[in-house]
Amino acid sequence: MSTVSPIQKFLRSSALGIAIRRARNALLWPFLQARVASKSRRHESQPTASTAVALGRAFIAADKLEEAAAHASSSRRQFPESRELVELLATARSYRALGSLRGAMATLRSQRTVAAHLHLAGLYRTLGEFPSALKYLERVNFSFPDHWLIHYAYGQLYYARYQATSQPSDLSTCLQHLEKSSRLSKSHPKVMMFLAFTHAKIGNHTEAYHYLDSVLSQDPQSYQGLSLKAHLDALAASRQQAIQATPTQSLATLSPEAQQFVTDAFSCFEESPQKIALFALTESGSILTSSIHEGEHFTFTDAERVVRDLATTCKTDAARMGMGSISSCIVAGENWVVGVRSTHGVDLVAFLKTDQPQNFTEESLDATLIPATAAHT
Amino acid sequence: MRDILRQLNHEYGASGSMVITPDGIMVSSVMTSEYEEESMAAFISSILLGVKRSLRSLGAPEAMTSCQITADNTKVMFFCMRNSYLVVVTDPTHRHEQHAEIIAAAMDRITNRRIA
Repeated sequence: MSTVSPIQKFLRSSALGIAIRRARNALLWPFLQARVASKSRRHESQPTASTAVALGRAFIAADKLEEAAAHASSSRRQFPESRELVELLATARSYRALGSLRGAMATLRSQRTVAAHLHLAGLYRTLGEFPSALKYLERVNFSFPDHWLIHYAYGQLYYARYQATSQPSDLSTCLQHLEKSSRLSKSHPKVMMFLAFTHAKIGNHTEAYHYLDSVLSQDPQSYQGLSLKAHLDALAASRQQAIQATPTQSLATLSPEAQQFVTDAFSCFEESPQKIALFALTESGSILTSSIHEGEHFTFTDAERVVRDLATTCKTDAARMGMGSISSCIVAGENWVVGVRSTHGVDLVAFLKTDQPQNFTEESLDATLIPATAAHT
Repeated sequence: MRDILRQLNHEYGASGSMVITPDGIMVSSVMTSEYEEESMAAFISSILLGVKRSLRSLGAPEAMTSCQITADNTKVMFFCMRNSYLVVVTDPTHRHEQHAEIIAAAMDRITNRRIA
């Protein structure tokens, strides 16, 4: 998203501005064309991020917004690190949206359809004018509260606003609308893809895979789905490689006190009649060691990723909220508890059986994992 | 609902409490000025959804009934009320087991309250 200047707004969305712009384009047409041709030749002979940006700017100056957007989009894949290309793409899209605003408003006046509302809301979203976008979505949502495309558009809007403002509440609202859209559309691949992408973006890889599976089961050749899967697989492989290559070395990299703590915790756990499984992770989420026992309560196939997510979930926003570091998290079910205990730079994630989960406290967890609790807390 | 939460905060010594849906949407909340209501709701929603997602992936036999997170400055507790969760924010040294009946009474009042 880019901020559009008042001059550009005038030139691209008012009748007088459009007339001035057209006159200017007609007058400078040969020069603008020659500039595009020259930048294009330069980019083709020696393609770099800066030649791509220069060509994109020439397209925009010549009012070739479709070409500018397509060029910026394809160049971004070639030069993913270039911040200028991201801005160029946002500018091209914003100018294009400004140019479409008048037409979209006229359409809405003549046809008060869902599509017309969504189109206008989408244009305002592209321009970063979120209150206006929200106004049109709320208006159409009032008449069609269970329309999946409206909730999809809400998801897009809150995601865009999250990118602009980094408000965590926007992200959770985005996911809520997308999940509702997914239910209403009976898992439409477009919604599932957006859900997968959003979860991947915030690091919920388990959930991202879940939605990706749905996308790829409906369309095994989905370019977006396969690209995201390849990206997630590469991330998982690098983590897995780290775990498999150096499980004991990782433990050895801990301080002697932390190593002793982990060793003691596993010995203590093995003697507990409550044991189901225990994992030890570093603060960054690498698994140091684990002990999994047979049990009817949980399925630990491919558990590493989920356990890592579980251990890191609680920590993500806690510091930002001013809550300080998390020392423990205890989740209870009918006859089981899952406890995460963070100390000595290590996270222990314990799965335990218990008849009285409601009475299970941080001290109960310590008593199960730490032989001399007082020495470690 | 706000009256019930206000009374709960007073009796339990909590710095805030709220009711959220299983989807993480805040229904009602009474928080002290220490925490910004919207941010706290987003944080709690994020944790609730994250924990539920992980448990689902691990094939947990049934839904979680409670969750207690202790940090340096705060303790956050979730209690399942079938179609919603009661969330209570306290001091990290607060002993829930000594005041569990206050939570049970509040949950009972919330689930059985009459809508005027």
